[in-house]
Amino acid sequence: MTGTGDNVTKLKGLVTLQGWRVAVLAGLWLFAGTAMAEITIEITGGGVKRAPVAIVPFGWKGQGAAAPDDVAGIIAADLYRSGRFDPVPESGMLQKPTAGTDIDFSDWTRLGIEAVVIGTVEQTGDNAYSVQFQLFDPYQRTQLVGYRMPASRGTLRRTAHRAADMIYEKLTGIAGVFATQVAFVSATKQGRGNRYRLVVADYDGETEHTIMESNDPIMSPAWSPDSRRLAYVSFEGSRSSIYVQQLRTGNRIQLSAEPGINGAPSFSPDGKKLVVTLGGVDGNLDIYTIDVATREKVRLTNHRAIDTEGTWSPDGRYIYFTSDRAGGPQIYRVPASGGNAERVTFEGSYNARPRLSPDGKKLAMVTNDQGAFRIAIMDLGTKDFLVLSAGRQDESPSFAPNSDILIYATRQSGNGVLETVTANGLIRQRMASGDGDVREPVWSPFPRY
Amino acid sequence: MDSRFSQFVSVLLALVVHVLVLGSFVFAFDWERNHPAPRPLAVTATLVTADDIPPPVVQAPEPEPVAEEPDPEPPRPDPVEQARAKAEEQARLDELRREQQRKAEEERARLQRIEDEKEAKRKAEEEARRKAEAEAELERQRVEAERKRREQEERQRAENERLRREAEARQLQEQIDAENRRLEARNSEDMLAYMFAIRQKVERAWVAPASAPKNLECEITVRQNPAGEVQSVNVVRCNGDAIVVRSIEAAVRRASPLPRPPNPLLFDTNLRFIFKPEQ
Repeated sequence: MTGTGDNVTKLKGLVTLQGWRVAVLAGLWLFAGTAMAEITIEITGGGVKRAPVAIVPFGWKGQGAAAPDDVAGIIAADLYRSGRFDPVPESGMLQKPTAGTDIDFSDWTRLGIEAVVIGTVEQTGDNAYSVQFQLFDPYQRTQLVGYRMPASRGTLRRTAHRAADMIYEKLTGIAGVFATQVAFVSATKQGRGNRYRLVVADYDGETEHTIMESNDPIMSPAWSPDSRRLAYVSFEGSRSSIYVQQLRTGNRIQLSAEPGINGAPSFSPDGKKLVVTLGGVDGNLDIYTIDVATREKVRLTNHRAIDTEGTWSPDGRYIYFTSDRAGGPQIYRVPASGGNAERVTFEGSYNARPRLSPDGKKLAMVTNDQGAFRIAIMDLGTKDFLVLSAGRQDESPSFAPNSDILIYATRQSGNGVLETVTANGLIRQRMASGDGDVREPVWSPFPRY
Repeated sequence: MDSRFSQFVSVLLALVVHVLVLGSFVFAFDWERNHPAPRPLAVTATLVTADDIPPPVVQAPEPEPVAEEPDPEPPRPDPVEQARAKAEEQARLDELRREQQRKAEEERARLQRIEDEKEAKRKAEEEARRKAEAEAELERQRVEAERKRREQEERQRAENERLRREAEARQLQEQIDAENRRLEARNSEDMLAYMFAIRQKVERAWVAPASAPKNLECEITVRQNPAGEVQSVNVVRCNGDAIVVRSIEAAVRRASPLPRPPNPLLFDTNLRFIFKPEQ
């Protein structure tokens, strides 16, 4: 876990807002009276109070002693991982009801539990299950949400994540992302070189699938808006090419293999085009769009400086990109239909790798924060600028589809590892992610059911 | 002598008849005069008085003595005189009858007048009664309307009072709710996010001078406007030298405008910072 002491804090202060003392102690981000009663080492933010909740073990009706997956356990782990909830351990429960009528609400209010989840998994066929869950507010003594969902052995985990999403959204007002996936590139030592793999894993790091592997580098994965395809750059054959690959079938098409650099693909919101960086024979990097169906290329920038890392705004109107046309790298944008580039970032001497939040309100980037490369976020409305990460070589920020969390790669003992951080900078945590050097994580869109 | 006597008798008889007629007039007059009195009791009283007085008048010309008188007359010798007297008498009687007829007509006319007057009076009274009744009805309606108006006023007053109380209660509840929202917001993750953002911006703007002691601890208060622009910086205490104090003030001013809170309820004009470098 990244201790917050990693964060180079020159002043550890105390910010008081009239009548409200907030001490910031060494090793903590903030310490604020009763609001900060809990400090959890896994959460690098540490300051956010976790709400105590109870996910009661689900009942099981079927063959064998237990359901193939521990649905309640998966939900509890999801809520815990969000940094906003603290599920009580099973040993701390005074009762373990599996039906709403069996709940004694006072048993939970006595423990200060703010939300209770109960449910059952029922086997309805050879490979068919029915998952039912209910979320209760024990103080109001009311059900907040309840669903029954069909599942198979293979989708039981996904179904549990989906239940966690609904519970999380009901309790926080923020859409859950537990059923989403993350794509990333991992490199493991193999002989004298590396073995590169393009991996798609569940958000919790479980159920890894290798989409593509190669002895040559793989870079810059990008999700299609329908989550069914990944675009990426492969150096197979020792030259760069841009591919678009179907996840289900593994079929792929080579979309661009121009002489020189073919890099940094990113899908348009309608999934029909990619924005890419092409270098050409003279090596002058500029931004192009490519129509996926016709492979028609349109040049958007034509500048002798480096223009790269293009990304579409969610409304499809602009393409944001990195350019060093003013000296150091800064973020610019150009109308997707073509036109003049306009500078977007002015904070500091280095801002690169733009990514827009799906709600279009925030711009994430890599910034040079007093000599360290860190993930920062700029509010496009207020222009407020916030550094979110605390490493020295942090890279590749990518927003979760709910715009509330970002994932990025940081270095630990020389290896790349993945971390997530809330867009307010308060909850930061390490993500379990395979072996080797992990780079370039990209968060999937919301799943389609 | 005889004719004189008979003349005298005739005159007497005429007198008697006149008295009789007059008496009946008096009687009738009295009766008529008293009759219109609305109360029957008064009529009775008047009748009693009338009965008491007229009898002597009516009795005096009682026919018995008069009936005895003519008896000696038939043997009167002079038929011419008799015829003439008779004719005279006849003429006189005719005259009398005409006179009586005229008087009776006059009386009828008078009675009719009285009757008309009575009718007019009755009508006037009826009219007055109707008018009085109408006025009474109007008055009753006015009083009723007044009563209703008062009731309505009272109801309105009570309703206004109720509404005022409710509005007061609502306002109080709104204040309580607003305060609760503020407290809740201040206990929320957003509050931490706000402080984190402020702290980071000031931190990033601060270049600690070489003269800053290892155990530096400076407390400053800052006033900001709603746009986050720093209005004033006040050093409460600081164990650093003038250069350090200046660097801290400069950092806060460089950090202006300070980040805006994620929730407007969290905004506070007055901020307090403690600068304390990591050990």
